[in-house]
Amino acid sequence: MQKIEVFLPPTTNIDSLEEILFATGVVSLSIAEMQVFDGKEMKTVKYRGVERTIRRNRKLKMEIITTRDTVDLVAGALRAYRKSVGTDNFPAFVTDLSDLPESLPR
Amino acid sequence: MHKIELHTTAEDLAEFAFLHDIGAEIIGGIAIEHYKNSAPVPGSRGGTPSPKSMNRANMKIEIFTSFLDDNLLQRLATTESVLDVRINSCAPLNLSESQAEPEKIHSGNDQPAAVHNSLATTCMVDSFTPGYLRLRVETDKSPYCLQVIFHTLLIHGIEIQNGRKFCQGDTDFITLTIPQTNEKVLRLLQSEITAGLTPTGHAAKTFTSGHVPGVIGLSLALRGSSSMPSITITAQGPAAAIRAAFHDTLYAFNCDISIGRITGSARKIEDIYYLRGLDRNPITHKHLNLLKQRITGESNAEN
Repeated sequence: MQKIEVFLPPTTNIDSLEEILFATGVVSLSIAEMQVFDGKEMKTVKYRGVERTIRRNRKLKMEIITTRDTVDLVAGALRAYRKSVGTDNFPAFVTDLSDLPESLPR
Repeated sequence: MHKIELHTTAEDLAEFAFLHDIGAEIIGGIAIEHYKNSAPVPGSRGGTPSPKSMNRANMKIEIFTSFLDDNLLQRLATTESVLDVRINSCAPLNLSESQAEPEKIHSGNDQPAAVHNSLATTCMVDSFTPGYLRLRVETDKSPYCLQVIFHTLLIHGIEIQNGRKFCQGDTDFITLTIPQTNEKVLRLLQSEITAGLTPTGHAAKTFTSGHVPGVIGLSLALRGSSSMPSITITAQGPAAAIRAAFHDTLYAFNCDISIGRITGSARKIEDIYYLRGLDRNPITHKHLNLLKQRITGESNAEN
């Protein structure tokens, strides 16, 4: 089993993404809202004459549990979604969960 | 690449401003205050208990970094608010467009979906809203499950109001909303679906091959990536027959089908299906023409 952690913009349409991801055969999905320091997205804003740097953003972190065979397919689905919404690259990471039991009894 | 997880009593990520300078890919903080109040039941055996000190954590911080230097770990270890540090390895997943999608995506799918001798299938019907029932089918992944279900519904003249199908692990979950039908028909429907979803049952079943009369304004649109495109079908005419003919042809394309959306009425359909090819051939407009030809019987279909 593999865990894919992907950081999505807060405006992400979770319903449509979830639909596409479940169609690829993922085992489970969970979503959490996070405060994120993303050096690439830092920006400076001026509010009432005072300039300040925004270092933190809100992001949705999606954890996708899937089998090794479908990681490429999930990546393809995320790539297609990213392309359809026209945003920059989503930071995404894969962790191998092979130390954990393959599956839990249902 | 490494993932560092910290549990901390800090409530704001700003307290860890020094993390800016470590060159991490991304640093995220999640408030866990809500969860720490749900204390485990004494005597429960639900996994390894977390250290008592971690119950004081207000926030979990996750750092994804390719540099793991001792100074950072020392700094984290000496920060008073940090209760626990865990490190594991991970790899970045490239979602940029430079990767060749179709080749990579199908690399693990050279063989069609495994078909076992006996598929574990459950078919249940329960009441949903007044006048409507919910038909739920759970079966081992098989490429023909929608073909069997739509054909059985056509035989019994049952129209679908709404539906979903998705695949989770090795199981297909299909949920369809159908109008209230008498119990005898429902029992027959359940047994025919369960029997039809076995490989022998599917082989013994006869699927019609003629076109569907009375179809008006059939439109098929292919969207999305080549690895998992979606097909939108809109048409007016006998909805159950159109869906059955559509899924007969899709089955021949050797792809795994998920229902994105089913809408319409007895005389109108507007459905979206996601297709995942089980061989190296992507679904193209040629396939759409074949679908159109099969449904309408017109040989010079365009799209």
